[in-house]
Amino acid sequence: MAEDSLATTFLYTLSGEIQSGDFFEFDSLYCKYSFNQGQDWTLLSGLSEGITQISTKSHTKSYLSNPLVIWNFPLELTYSSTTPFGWPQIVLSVYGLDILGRDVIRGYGAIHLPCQSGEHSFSIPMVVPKSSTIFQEILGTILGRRAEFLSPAFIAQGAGREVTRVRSQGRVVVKCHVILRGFKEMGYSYARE
Amino acid sequence: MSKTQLFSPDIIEEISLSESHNEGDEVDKIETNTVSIEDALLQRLELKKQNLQKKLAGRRDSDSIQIAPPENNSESQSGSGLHDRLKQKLLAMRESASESKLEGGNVLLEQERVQKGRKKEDIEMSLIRKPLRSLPPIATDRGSSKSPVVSFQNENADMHLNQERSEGDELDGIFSRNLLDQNDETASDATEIRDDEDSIHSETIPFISQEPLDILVYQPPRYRYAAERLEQENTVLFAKQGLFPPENNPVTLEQKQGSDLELRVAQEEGLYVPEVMLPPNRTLIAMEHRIVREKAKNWFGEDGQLKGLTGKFQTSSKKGLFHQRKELFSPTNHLIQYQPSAVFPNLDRQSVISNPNQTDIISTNIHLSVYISSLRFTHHWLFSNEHLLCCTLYALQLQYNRLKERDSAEMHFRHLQALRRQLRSLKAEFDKLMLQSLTGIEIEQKANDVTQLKQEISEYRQLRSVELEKEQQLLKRIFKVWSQLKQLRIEQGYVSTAARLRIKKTNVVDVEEDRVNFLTELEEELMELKEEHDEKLSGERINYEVAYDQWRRDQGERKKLLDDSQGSALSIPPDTPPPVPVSEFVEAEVRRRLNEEYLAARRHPGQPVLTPELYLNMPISGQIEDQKELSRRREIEKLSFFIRVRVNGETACETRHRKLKQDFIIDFQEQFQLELRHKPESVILQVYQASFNPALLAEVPCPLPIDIPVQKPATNPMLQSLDFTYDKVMHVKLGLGAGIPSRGGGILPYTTGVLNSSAELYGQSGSNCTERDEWKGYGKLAKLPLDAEKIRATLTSSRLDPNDPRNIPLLQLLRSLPTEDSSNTFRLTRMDLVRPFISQREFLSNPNFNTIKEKHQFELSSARPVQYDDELTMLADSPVRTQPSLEDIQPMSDQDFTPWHPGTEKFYQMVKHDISKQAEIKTPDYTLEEVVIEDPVPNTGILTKYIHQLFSPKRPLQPKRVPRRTLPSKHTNIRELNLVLRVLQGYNFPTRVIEPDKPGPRLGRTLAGQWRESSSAHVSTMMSEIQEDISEDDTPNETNPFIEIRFQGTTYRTKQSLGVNPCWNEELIIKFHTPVPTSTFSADSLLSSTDILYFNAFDLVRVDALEDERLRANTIKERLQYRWLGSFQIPFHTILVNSRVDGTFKMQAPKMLFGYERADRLDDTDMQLSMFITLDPLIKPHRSIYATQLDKDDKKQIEKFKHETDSLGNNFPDREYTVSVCDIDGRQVIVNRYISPLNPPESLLSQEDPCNLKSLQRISRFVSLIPFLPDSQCLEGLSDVWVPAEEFLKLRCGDEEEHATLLLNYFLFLDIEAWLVLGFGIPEGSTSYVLSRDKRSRSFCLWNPSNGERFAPSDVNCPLLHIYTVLSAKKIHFNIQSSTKPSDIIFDFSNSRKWKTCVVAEGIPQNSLQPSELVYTPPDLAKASQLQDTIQHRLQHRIEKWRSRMPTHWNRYASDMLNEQLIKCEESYPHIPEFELKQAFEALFTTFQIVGFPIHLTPTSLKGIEEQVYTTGIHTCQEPGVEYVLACYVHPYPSDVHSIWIYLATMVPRE
Repeated sequence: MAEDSLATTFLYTLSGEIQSGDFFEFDSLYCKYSFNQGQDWTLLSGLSEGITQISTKSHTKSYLSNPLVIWNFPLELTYSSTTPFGWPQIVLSVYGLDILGRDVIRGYGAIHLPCQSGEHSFSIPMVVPKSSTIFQEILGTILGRRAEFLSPAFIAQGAGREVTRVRSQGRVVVKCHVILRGFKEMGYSYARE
Repeated sequence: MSKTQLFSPDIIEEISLSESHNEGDEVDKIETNTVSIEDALLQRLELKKQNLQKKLAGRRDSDSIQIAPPENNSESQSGSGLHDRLKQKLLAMRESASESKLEGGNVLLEQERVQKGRKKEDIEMSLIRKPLRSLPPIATDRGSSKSPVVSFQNENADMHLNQERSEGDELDGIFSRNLLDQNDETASDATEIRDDEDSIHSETIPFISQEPLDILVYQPPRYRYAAERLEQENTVLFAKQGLFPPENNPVTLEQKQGSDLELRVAQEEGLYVPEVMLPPNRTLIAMEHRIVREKAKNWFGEDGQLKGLTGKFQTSSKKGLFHQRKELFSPTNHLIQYQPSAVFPNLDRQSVISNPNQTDIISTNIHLSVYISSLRFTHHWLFSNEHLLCCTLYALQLQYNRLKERDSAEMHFRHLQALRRQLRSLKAEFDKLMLQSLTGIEIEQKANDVTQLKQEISEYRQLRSVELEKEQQLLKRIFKVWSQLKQLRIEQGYVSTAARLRIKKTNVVDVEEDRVNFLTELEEELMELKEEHDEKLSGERINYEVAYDQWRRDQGERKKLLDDSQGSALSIPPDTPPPVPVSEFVEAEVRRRLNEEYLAARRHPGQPVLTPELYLNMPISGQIEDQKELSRRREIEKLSFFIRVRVNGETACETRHRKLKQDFIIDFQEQFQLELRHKPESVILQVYQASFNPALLAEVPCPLPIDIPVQKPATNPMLQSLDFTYDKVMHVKLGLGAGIPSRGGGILPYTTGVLNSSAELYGQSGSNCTERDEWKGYGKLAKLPLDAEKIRATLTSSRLDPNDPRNIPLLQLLRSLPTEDSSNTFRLTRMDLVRPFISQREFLSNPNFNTIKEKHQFELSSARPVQYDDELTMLADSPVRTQPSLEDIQPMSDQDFTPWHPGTEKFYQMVKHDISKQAEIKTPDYTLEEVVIEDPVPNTGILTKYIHQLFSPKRPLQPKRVPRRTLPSKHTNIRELNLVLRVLQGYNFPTRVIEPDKPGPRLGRTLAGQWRESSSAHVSTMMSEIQEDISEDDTPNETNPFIEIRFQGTTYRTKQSLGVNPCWNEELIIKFHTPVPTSTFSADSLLSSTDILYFNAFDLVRVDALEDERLRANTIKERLQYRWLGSFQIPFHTILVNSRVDGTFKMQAPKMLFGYERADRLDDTDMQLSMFITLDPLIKPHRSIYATQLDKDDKKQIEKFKHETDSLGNNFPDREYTVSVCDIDGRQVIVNRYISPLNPPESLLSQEDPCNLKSLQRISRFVSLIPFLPDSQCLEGLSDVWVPAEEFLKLRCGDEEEHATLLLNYFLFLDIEAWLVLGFGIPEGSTSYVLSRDKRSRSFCLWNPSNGERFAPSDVNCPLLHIYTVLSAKKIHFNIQSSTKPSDIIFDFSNSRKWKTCVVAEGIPQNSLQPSELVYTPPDLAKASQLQDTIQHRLQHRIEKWRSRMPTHWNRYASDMLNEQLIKCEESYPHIPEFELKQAFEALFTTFQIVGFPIHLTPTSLKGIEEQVYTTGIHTCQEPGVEYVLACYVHPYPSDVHSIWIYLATMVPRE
């Protein structure tokens, strides 16, 4: 650890998976993910964004009353940073195919990555923006163009939320393991190493 | 078991109930233990069981003995007697127990049977069942000892057991001892035992009874009434044990003092008795009772009250050092506590582990509770005469009441009497001493005391008479006012105030006594006066005698002198009158005088005592006829008021608006609870008159308590009456008004009132330690500057009366003042207590915090990613600086030539820093469209558009431009940014000239019509296509122009076109690379980009390179030549800011191009290119920082004009009306301050007529030569900064507006009518031009300051497209015409329908930001030639480098020749002496084929020059034997401004 005493960055490694989605009424879903982080954070390795396969629910009724959409999509990345400001967030946007096979947004969600080492599992509640009028909603449903966020990263930021109306819709379970390194040398304390 | 039964039945019940469920476990445990123990132990246990039974039996017996009538236990029986008796009983018990032999099991069985047989209450059942369950005696014993109730016996039991094991048979003895011990311990135990003995009776029977069962008698538990029990306890126990039962009745005085003692209340004698600290009332009564019982009378004072300490405060701390330290370092003392978070693997993520300690931190708040009760006006402008009188009456009555309450006359009287008594005794003592004829200090002291007493007596006497007089006069005034009020009411015929005075008349009971008292007092005073007089007399008599002797001697001498010198009366002293002897005391006269005084000032003896009482219950007349009064009352009802509470200068809350009532009292009755972090510095109540614009009547500071209790005090807060005055003169028709002279003379008071309110603080304060405890009691005194010595000196010298209650705090302060040795007390201010997050040192040493700090500093001022280099340190280290000055800036290294001042960048950095410090960040609000995509609702507008589209004729050749969607600037996650560029058409391109002597396709064989074929942008593919398609019939002298675009080092190219007006209509996608690879396409990084788009028009010339003519039949060998035609540049920044650039742009074409000539020879038609550039995705980053601070001088003006422009903006939303701009200090100043005449350089002016066109052109050229640097580039998107001319010339760089203002100011100096035009132009967007009017022709003329060109407003090619604002030195004209095009605008500024004119206030021109005179440095020839050499060498070097694959030959001869020509070019600018140039080359033309052009460079850095030369592509010439010609000329202008000319040519030798 002697060489770490002069460290100017700390490392954050996350490995895990986007396990499953629980969208009660929707099926055939896929999930896009990306990470949103501050300026000081640099991605050292790993895919900063990706897209899962389209996954369909199991139809055996007896197994579970509310079957899940399973993706089991692996995540693995390493960040380095000098400051915790702009702590990375995982941004998920789940799309599904509607009856006519068009891509329709099923939910947006974001959560800060855990800042403690160890195993974490969290279920991210998802929301979709509501159409501003009923007419537009009907129109959107017919045309398969529902109200969407211009950028999925919008859900990870605070500004401009006041103009939107959203409806909650399902949840996505993400499980991950976190390894931290060099935090203590940079003057940050955390519970376990 | 025996222990258990020692307790009263209810305790047993408790135990049994509570332990019934776990008793079984206990039993098991014990049993297993017992199993493991050896047989011997078992035997012992058996033995013990028996013993216990014996004991119980014995107890039964003892009960029978013990149950005696209570009267047996008389009070006289002492404690020891009881013990003896108990011992006896126990001995008897032992004897009887030894006889009893019975096994426990049998007993129990029998007992059960009994229970079945008889019906018992449930409680008793459980009581009895208990022994059944806990049969093994030890088990029960232990089980019961578990209970906390019997904890002290637990030890006994354990000890007991141990002893049992060792001693076995001695158990009984131990038991008895044990019992006795208990008996000794406390009296209360004794009572318990007694209680038990009563109740045990019934229970113990089954165990011990050896008699037949039917003897068993069950009794319900005996209930004793509380009163009975208390009495018993009182009589039997308390008295016996020396205790005192608590009593609720207070102790009477007789009990305290006995009947013989007389009470003396010091207060009544006028002495000050400090408040005694006494315990709460209940405790006090108990204490008094005890004292009475103990007959310790000395605890009571003379007044029958308990004596007590008077000091409220401790003078020294009782906390030890250790204690303090512990407190200091205890974790709770820290405001921030670090609690490491933890992951618990077995817990869910959701289950947050809360830390109970954290609540402590939160509750450090202070609650402020403000209660506003009512508001009463003591004077109001709507008062009538009656109100005025009423208020006077009220005030008088109040005064009277206060006087009566204090009753100082009476107090003084008592004091006086006490003093007199003292004097008498003192005198007696004095006499005694005199009799003993003792001399010395003692007598002297006594005499002193006597005189002092006398003095005091006379003082008090005077005080008393003053008080009495005051009271009497007050009474008189009250009566007078009341009679006036009554009179007034009768006169006006109605009542409008509720005041009513009742005079209570109390007849004196004994008239004679009253008179006697009166006379006695008079006599006493008389006596004292006489004594005083006598003393005075005795003193003065001696004086008189001395004086008289002197006088007589003087007289004698005088006579002698008179006799001696008859004539000369010079030295004779004047005749002095003899000294007056001291008058005798005339008793009768003094008595008469006193009597008069007494009668005047006091109540006459025998007269009844009159007490006025004011009531507010007079009914106000409802129906009155006086119209004025009615309207006055209506007016009152219109008024309403409210109170605003301001805490620490911030408005905290306000009451509801309440209407004023007829009695001028407003009831608010509102309470506010506020939570504060610190103790508030000030709480101010503001009285407002509610209206549309609430008027502040008064501000009343609300006094706050010094102590902050932790809990809210339960008692109601003390209402405080706060007076306020509204010092505004009110003239009112209906009322009397306020502050104006009244009709009856004098001046009416201002509006005044009384606010009843209270404010109290409670809650835990984190700042208790700031004020030392002993300082708390002294209110404002504690806030005095801590000059302890001064305070001490003042207090000691003033000799305060310790008997005056008012002085008590001061005296206590004096006592608590720090002594000299501890005077340097360290005190914290409250604000210092706010603990920093971390220590400063840690903050500085930690790299993280440094990063954060720097980031914060740079957040506003920088758009680039933070770099930790000198730039940063420059800002970080810069001390406080008011204005950036050029003197601060050290020139940077001189390695690279820059046309502007080397310190420019730093200057702008400073400006930026200053602005960003003052600027306000405005985050533009989001709109839904910026966030959410959804299909728009088809409204009629869209529908009609669709319908229109449906029916409109389709014109595919004239497609309409669909506007791109603009991405909001907040989107920073753009992956890719492209420039979309559509090159449409060129105009006035030059025609290639075929040399007459070398005709034909040998040279300049071009490919006409080539452009029709599609070709890719890549040169290689294009080449191949060209190769394929050669036609013989191409027109040789037509140019084949194409446009090459160079951006960020990459070249893009259009296809070739043909002719003078070529048409491309080609779209190019140019990829934008961010300057720093990692950074995103954020607005900041984009705005800092300094890239420039270079557009170059080239002519593609094919040169036949076939050397062998014989091969011509089947071989084509050609060489391609790119001949530069013209260029044009747009900074990327312009595109970014304007989001699209669209129009026809003038290309900078060399005026003379060898080998080419203009088709149209007209001067004003330039080579032009029309195109359209935009971004994909279309982002419009705008930094949201504006300088918001208005200059204080211009503030009013700017606000006024802004208001104007806002209203104009409603009509013309697209127009940008400019009123104020940001100056270098970051303030908003009015634009006109930049306009004032400035002297141009002398050398530029024509001698004969400075105003002729040539001179003007020279000036404008000079201005345009000053290098150009957009503000938005240096300031990275901060608002445009206008630099004054002096700095502008020094920096030698600026934006359009600096150029424009300078040019304008020059024009103004030359007395030319000129204006500053602000508008929109291409390509730069928002721009500034100068408008001038010719003196003779009265025609207008627009000057482009950035290149010095001149346009007529009607010129179609004018790059200024829109005009919004036109400014002169004193006026601002806003364009309100329907068109903004210069060609459509009517420049008649007096026409108010065309121009909205605002006149700037007079002071502005004087307040100009421009200097009064500009000083120019003379042209520096040496520097220019040096620069010339530098450029020449550099370019030569570069060209050689670019042509590294082939040799580069330089033709020196031609170079020198061209150099001369360049000087001519400069002289004759803007006209190029084309003919002369041609002539000069005439000789060369014969042997060389020359392609070349002069470039007049826009002043840029050396690198920029290189880049511009590179883009001409002249280095690409690959003809064999080509010779290069490079000429460079730098012409110096004043103030280091240079004009740079470069001539480039290639000379290819003809065969």
